[in-house]
Amino acid sequence: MIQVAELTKSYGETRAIEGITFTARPGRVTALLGPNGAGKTTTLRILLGLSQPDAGTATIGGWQYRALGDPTRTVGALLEWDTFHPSRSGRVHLRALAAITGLAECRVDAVLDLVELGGVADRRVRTYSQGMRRRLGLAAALLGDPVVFVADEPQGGLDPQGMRWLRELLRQLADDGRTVLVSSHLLAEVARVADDVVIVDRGRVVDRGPLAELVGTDEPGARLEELFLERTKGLAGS
Amino acid sequence: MRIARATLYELWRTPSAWVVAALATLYPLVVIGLLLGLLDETWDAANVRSLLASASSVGMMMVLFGVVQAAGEYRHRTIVPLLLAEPRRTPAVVGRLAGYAVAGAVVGLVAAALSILLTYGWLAASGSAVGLRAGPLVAVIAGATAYAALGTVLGGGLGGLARNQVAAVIAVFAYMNLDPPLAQAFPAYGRFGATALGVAMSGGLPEAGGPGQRLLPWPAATAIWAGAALALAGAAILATRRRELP
Repeated sequence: MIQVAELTKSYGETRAIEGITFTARPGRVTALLGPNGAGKTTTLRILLGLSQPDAGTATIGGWQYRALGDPTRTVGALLEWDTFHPSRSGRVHLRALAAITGLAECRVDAVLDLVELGGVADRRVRTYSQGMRRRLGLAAALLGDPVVFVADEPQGGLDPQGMRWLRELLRQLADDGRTVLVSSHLLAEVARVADDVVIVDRGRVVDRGPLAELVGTDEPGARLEELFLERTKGLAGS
Repeated sequence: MRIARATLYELWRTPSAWVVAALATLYPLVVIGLLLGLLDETWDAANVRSLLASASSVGMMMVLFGVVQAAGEYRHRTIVPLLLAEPRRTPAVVGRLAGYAVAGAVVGLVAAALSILLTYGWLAASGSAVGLRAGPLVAVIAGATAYAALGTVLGGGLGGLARNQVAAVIAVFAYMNLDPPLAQAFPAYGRFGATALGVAMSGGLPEAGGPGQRLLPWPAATAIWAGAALALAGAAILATRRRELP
């Protein structure tokens, strides 16, 4: 379970997030929604120990990320679409990560098959398309077969087939009992896979709850868009 | 230990790392080849010993290697998956630097061995059979290896601090070119410069420092070079521990 409580962070004079509070539960896909600059990425970076909060806590299974004994087997994270050395192959990238974390090499082949990159795994990353890099990032995130999956805008760069594949993957991860937290602003896509939503704007949570309760089950994509625009517009005027 | 091994695996499978390592290995060979070809010297044991100490020039190139690798972590954002896999930042950076040190030692060892082979091969071909006792040869190999290993750590620390790969590479190049004239202009500085420390560590004779200055004894030179490497490594660790990764 992911628990974020009263998370606050400023960069200089700019308040990036203020009092962000939500929970992402096992077996459910939780979508962190918000317009650009709302504080989604800042929240995820703090959750993953890449940034320090000014106040509040963000924990995974009750532990801060930096205190996790075996982070790769606990949390799979996809934050940026291009965190690879361009002259190394996808397989080398994954093997190095497996070596760092003490994972068996067979996991490399398993995740390459899972993200359907097996055929290009020995090509240098600089020859990959954006969608292929996104899949490689997903492979890295899933390398440790984690119980928690966190992704920042995972749909970016994916074609329609890739979007459908990702949707099914997220659903499968949640159905396996894992905790899935994804940030996005692709509302129609989110509505097709999310169980719970947290809407943030200008660093604050403006609404949260089960998707079905918030927008019903009739045309959830359109209803979610309406809700999103209403909630974010309201704060913009304050 | 796992991170050091993974770092070596990554370097092994990174073409650009091979290019820089090859240039670092070739550099002392070119220097020694030019000295052998251009200097009209009588190649006695003392001169050969000074010549072989030029093998230490691999170390400055390995500073560059360390800078390229460590700053490249930020340029290519590979620092993110590293710190996600090992969120405790001190072991993460120490592991990286340990991997760089081993790579530097291997390149230094190869460069020193090739320098000896080139020198003796050249002299034998030109009919100047020069005998050198084992001690000075061991000094060349051990000194150049240690100098290159520590130089790679120093470069890794510098790259981790600077993060801007281009700026860090330019700074090291500038220093490499400024060090010899600075040493000549300011004798008090000369024996403490990176080049002189490398020659001293690699068995260069005290008078090889040039007119008016003597090289430091090799233990002192090693202590200073190791101190510089550890200081920069420590600074990089502290900076990484405090650093936000936006």
